[in-house]
This record gives sequence, C-alpha cells and structure tokens, in this order.
Amino acid sequence: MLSKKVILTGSFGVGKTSLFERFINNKFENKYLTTIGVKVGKKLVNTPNGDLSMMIWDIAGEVAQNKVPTSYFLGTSGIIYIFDVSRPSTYGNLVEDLAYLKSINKLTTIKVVGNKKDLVTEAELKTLQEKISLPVNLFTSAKTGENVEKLFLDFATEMVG
Amino acid sequence: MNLSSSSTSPEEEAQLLEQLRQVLLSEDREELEAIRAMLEDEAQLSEKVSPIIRQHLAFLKENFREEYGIIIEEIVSKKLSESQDEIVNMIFPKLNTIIKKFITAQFQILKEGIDTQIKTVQNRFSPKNLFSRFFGPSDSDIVLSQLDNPEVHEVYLVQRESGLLLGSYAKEKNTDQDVIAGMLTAIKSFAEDAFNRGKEDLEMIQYENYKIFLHNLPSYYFAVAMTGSISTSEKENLSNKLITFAQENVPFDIANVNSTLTNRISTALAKYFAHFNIQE
Repeated sequence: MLSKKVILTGSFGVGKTSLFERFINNKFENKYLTTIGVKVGKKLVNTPNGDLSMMIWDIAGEVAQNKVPTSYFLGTSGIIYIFDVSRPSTYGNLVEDLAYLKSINKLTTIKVVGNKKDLVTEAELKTLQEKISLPVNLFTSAKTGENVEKLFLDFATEMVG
Repeated sequence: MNLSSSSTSPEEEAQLLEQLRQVLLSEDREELEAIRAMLEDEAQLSEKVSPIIRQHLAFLKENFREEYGIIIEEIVSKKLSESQDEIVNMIFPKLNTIIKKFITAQFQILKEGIDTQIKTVQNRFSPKNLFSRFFGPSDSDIVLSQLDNPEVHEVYLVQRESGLLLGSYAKEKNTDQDVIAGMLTAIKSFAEDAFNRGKEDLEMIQYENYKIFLHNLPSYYFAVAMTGSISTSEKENLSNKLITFAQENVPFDIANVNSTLTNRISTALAKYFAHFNIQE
C-alpha cells in the first residue's frame, strides 16, 4: 500500500478542518475553532487502482497562500485548495494563489474545491462558477457530507493510478 | 441700654450692637487671632503638633499588630487569593530560572568533584587509562550516566520533506505512528521556518525528562524518543549507530513510500533497537 501526503489549504474559515474531520472521523462541529499550525491525520482509502494511506495535513488558513510556510508544501503529492462559496473574499485570490502553489511544487496535482455548498442555491453556484475564471473541481458540504467522500476518493484514485 | 427704643435710628442701632460685640467678644477675638497666627506659622504649628504625632507614632509602633494586624491580613489574603494566577505567572519564570541555575551549578560541582577524586585515586599512567582518558568518555560522564541511565523508547525513520513514515520501532505500542511522524515533521518545519534558520535543522525536542533527538540526513531523519541523561559521547555514539543502521537498512530510493518498504525498515529497527545499549 502506498502512502501519500495531501494538503488542505485556503483562506481561514472556509471549512478545511470541517472537511478533514468529516472525511477522517465522519464528524461535523458547528462551532468554529481556528487551526493553529498544522493538524495531521491519516485515512486508508480503497480505490479501484489500489489502496492508499492518505496523510492529510490540515494547515492554518491564510488570506494569501504565500503567507503559509513553504516547507509545509514540500514532499506533497496533492493539494486541495478550498474556498467558501458563500464568501467571495475567499476566492478573490484564486488565480494568484494557484499560480503561487504551482510555482513552489511543480509536480503536485491541485484540486479546487468550493465548500459550504449547503449555504447557496444551485443557481447561485452556477453564477459563481461563471464568475470564477478557473474550473472548480467539486462543490462540497462538510456539514451535510455531500461530495466529501467523492472528493478524497477521486483524488486518491488519481494518485494511486 | 435699650436697643429696641423707637428714638434710635438703624445706624445708631448697628453702632450700639458693634459696641456690645466689642465688650463681649474682644477676649475671644484675641484668642482666635492667636490661634490663626499659630496655624499660619509653620514653626509654631509644628511645635504644638509634632509631640502629639510622635506620641501617636510611638503608640502605633508598639501596638500596630493589635490595632491593624487583622485588617491588613484580611486585605493581603483577599488580594493574594484574587491574584493567584498573576502571582504564579510572575514568580514561576524567575523561580524556574533560579532552580535550573542551581541544578546546573550543582551538577557542575558534582562533575568537577568526581573528576578530581578519580584523578587523584587512579593510576593515570597505565596505558589503558591513558588511552581511555584521551579517547573515551570523561569520568564524570560515566558516573553521571550511571545515575540516570538513558533509555530508548521509540525510534522513527521519517521521509524528510513529506513527513511520511519510513519505519518505526516502539517498546510499547502507542497512538498512530504515521500521525506522530507527520506531526514531528510539521513541528520541525514550523520551528525551522519560524526562526528563519536557513539550512539549519531542529535537533531536539524536550519536555521534562522526555527527549526526542532528531538526527537529520539529506532525504530522511531519525527521531529517537528517550528518557534519562545522555552525555555528549553517548549522543555521538547514538548518531554513529543511526548512520550505521541507515547504511545497512535504508535503500537509496525512498521516493515511493509503501507498506513493503516500511515493514522492512520497521523489522530492521526492532531488531537493532530491542536490546540497544547506548553506552556500548
């Protein structure tokens, strides 16, 4: 079984820890507690391409990605960039942030995820997708659990394959 | 004298009243003037008041505890219980430093004492002793290490950048070792970044009597969790053993971390560290 490191990053309060907790412990906490430094968790994922031990680093949110210590991104196989679909300020820097993440780790696969899907309507999501010039890989809700398993399973399958 | 006589005018009445005042109050007015003069003259006032103050102070000096002791004790005790946290926060760092300094100084004295005694007693000119004196650990190191033997509890081999676990050994099975490896790497990355030490590495994490030695190599690092005192020569010995282990058991290509690799390294670590003696 392979082991891979995956990073959850994005602005503060977008739901990185909620996605982390939902995926690893199948839990959701309504209370907002800011992440200090890093939280590391592990989940074994069974994919059609083989099993994967996914080491997930949930790092403290920053308004801009160049504020995150570069060393956290070293040796990572995948980055999940998360934004909050209900707060435009969390995807305002999307283009710059993705360009920065690609520049520091050229070989890493980056997924863009819009979280808190439960707070907006389908029509609003469509408008948002049109507004953002880059494609969003998935819209999730850590609260309801919608698309959370799919996000990590798809990513794991891609990494093992 | 009839003040209410209808034959006198109001002016005359006032004049008569003033004359009456002069007669009745002249003595009091003189006394009042004298008191005012005394109050305004500092020297005179001091002469009168000082003996009274001195007398009262002397009384307080003799009877302070009986008069005010209980009230002051109550105030201090209330204040102390209200500000317990602040007091602890204020005193603890100072106390901690003093204790640390004291222990370090005492250890230094003990070390020097042991060295002096051994130097006096032993035959310093035998070839064996001459050899160990120049190339072996110091006498104090040997005695001190025997007092608090170092013991290795856990060993982790971790991929340097990703924090993925390459292998581990623990005397007692603990929480998820993959997560420990990840968190250790996160702490290392944070410390190295936060203090902006360029290419320098974090080499030790210590809490109370528990130490985690980090031995850094180009693409991976060892984390050795241990208790007890470790001398410089033992630390060096441990580093050499870790390097030897790496040469014998860790493949050059560790880019793809998988369970076959980690199982192989973990088995080798268990074999190597199960009966490991740091002093050998």
